[in-house]
Amino acid sequence: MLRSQLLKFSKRFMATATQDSKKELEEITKSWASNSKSDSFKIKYQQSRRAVLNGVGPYGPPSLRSRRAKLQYMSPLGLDEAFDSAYEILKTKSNETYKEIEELDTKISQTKNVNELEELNNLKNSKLVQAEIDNPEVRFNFTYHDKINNDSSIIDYNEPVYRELKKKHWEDYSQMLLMQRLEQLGAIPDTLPTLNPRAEILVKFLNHTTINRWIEPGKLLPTNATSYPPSFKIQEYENVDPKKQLYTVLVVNPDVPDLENDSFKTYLHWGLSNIKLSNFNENFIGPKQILENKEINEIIDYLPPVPEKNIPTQRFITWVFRQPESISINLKNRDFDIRSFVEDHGLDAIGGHIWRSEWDSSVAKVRELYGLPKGTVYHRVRK
Amino acid sequence: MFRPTIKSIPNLSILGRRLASGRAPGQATSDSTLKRRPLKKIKLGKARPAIYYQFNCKTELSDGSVIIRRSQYPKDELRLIQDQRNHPLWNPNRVDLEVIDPNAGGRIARFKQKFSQFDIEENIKQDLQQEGQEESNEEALKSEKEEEDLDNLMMDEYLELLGQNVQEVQKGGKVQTKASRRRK
Amino acid sequence: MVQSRSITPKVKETIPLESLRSTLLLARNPIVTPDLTPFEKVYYNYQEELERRLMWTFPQYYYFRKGTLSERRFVAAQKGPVTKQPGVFYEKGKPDVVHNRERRLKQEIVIPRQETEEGSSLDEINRPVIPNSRITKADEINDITSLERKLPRTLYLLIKDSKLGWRLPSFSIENTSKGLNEVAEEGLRKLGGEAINTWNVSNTVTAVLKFQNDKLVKSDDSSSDLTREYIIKSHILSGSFKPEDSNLEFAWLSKEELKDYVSEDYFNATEFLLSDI
Repeated sequence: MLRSQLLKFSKRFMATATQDSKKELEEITKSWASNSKSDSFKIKYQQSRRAVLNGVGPYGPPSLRSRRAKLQYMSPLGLDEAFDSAYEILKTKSNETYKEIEELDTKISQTKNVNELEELNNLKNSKLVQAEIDNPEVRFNFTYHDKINNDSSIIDYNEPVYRELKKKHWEDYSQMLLMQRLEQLGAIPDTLPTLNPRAEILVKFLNHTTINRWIEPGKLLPTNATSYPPSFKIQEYENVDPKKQLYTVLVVNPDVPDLENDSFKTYLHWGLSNIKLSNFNENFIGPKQILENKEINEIIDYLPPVPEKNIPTQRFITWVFRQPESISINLKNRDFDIRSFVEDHGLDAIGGHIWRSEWDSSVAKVRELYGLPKGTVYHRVRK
Repeated sequence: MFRPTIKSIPNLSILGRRLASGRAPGQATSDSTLKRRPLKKIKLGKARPAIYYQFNCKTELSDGSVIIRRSQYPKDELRLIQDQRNHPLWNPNRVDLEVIDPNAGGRIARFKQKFSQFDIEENIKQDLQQEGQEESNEEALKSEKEEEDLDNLMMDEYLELLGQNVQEVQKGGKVQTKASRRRK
Repeated sequence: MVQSRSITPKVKETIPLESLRSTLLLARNPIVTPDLTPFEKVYYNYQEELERRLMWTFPQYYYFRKGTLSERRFVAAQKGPVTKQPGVFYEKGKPDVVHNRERRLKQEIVIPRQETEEGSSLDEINRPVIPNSRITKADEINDITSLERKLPRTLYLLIKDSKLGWRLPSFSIENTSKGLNEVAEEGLRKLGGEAINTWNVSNTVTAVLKFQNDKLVKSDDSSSDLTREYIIKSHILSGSFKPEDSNLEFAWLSKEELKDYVSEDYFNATEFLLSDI
């Protein structure tokens, strides 16, 4: 090593040696409103918590990796005082909101009228959201952690705040995307007349290694990916009772060729009813949940997408409904009129999803797997 | 844009002919615009909004009230002597702001100041008084006429000062005409 | 021809002139900018610091030409940035200095202070600008009759009536020849002397207070024996209220103080007229 390099190295070493002398870390004296109970309302990782509430300490921000970057970081001037002042104001506002919630609780315990009770519960929900939505720790937790495959100790969707934040996040992009895909691909007038999306539906095909992720609505999936039944995640944003509410899931294909009528007919590829979600976090319906939960009724077993050659791209629309009562139908005929089914059972469509399938090289294998006859090859129609 | 065709210069292309200064023939050559240095290239993502350096300037108005305003000029404290607080238009109820004498800063006052050594008005008044002693009773009636005479006498004295043979300028009409037209 | 309906409500009896009064809401506008709350101060400070960090470098070459004396004075007053020297370890990172400015921090320009000579007169144009205190003598003594109290707030004139207590000055109407605004103005000058300069916001009445047997009554009440006080809003521009009668108690009060002096009903009826600033 050159002498100059040695010198630099030793200087840095000297510098770091002095820095290693312990700097006092401030205790976290700030706390949100007195009635704020859930653990998910606090930041789990203590260093981050200290940085958010007390400001960046002498060791630098925890989100930076290298020590050099940590030491070089300079906080904007005047930020700490502004944060402290704002925190106090928002905290007092939150305390007032919690007092209002207490009063609402006493009112709820006294009312017997069902409508009034529902109104009061909704009001209480909105107040609970209002009390915690300005909490910087809640905002931090929501922004910097996984929202879909959430860790319930950090983002707990049982709490109205997190549901509200997630709802806004969904409305910002995903909801619009879903509606765009449903409308553009014609799923909406072709199956049910329209959809008022109130819950977020996420679809996944677990068995396939490359497509073991949440499917974007409207995606053209290869047939081997869809050879096994999909899994759903039903994220409810409205104030429903998760222990009592039952759901129905229907996978419908409106593009099955109907030769007699020279048109297309709708097939029901899969139907599940009497689905219960234990709470707002455990809302994943995969093979494990279906096998364990004996109450889930399979309306019809899963027929994978097996498109025939030269027919237009088939759409597979997943409809999710809220059931008023238990449905224990078992259908044999795949020919399906979804509108009459919905009307007969009084189903309320809360969400949907769509993927598409085309004939490809794996269709033959999937047909063999399910014991289906060989598909017909249609004459190609030029557009 | 019409470009004049140059036939006699074979080596330069017709369309691309420009003078050394960078202007096309026919465009004005002037140094009224300062020569511009080429602007520094602003890379993508490096553009910054124009937030100029500004100072918080404590400005004291004419009535003593202090205002803090932002300005780019490097001054921390400023004192104004003529502003809204001592202008009569913005303070209609204040009588002490309006200057009553309308002729105070005017041209006649300036002239009088310049030529005060000659004391024009006093001389004229003395002359008139000598004449007026005889007609003391009619002074009151003729006061208006006297003022007129005074003005005329002032004018005569002024002209005397200027010199003899004064030719008054014939004003009006076209001052500058073409030689060809004048001949007509 | 369409039959026209009468728009005005039919009043059976005429309202006697003695039951009408003209009240004056005389306001003194704030003299200084409003006081900032602690949060506002801290917030604006933070925003200003952010802007200072984003500001472009001060163009010294433009305001202080090279070689001039003012440039020399200016440069002498500045504290330059720490430049990057080879072989030096910088704990906070290597300085990034361009045009004599550290680019990672805000630029702090120091204006050179002119040294005041001992013999300088009080009237010199370059003497330092020292603003007066926002808390006046009247604030310290808490003199409620003074107009120079509470400079950042709006003050309203209140007069203590012997029977009815503290209320806005109200005047009876003698005849119909003068308008309500004129009655109010003349009444004010009678009480407080001629040296008051006021400006009426409008000749139209701002509000009406209805009394029945000296007690305030709701605004939609239309019984027959009501006393009506019509409030005229105006501002005092200059002068002061100096009553000849030394027994007359008067005060210039802000909205919150008015609440303590005036009865609850009266305050609730006039609250909307009063300013929070």
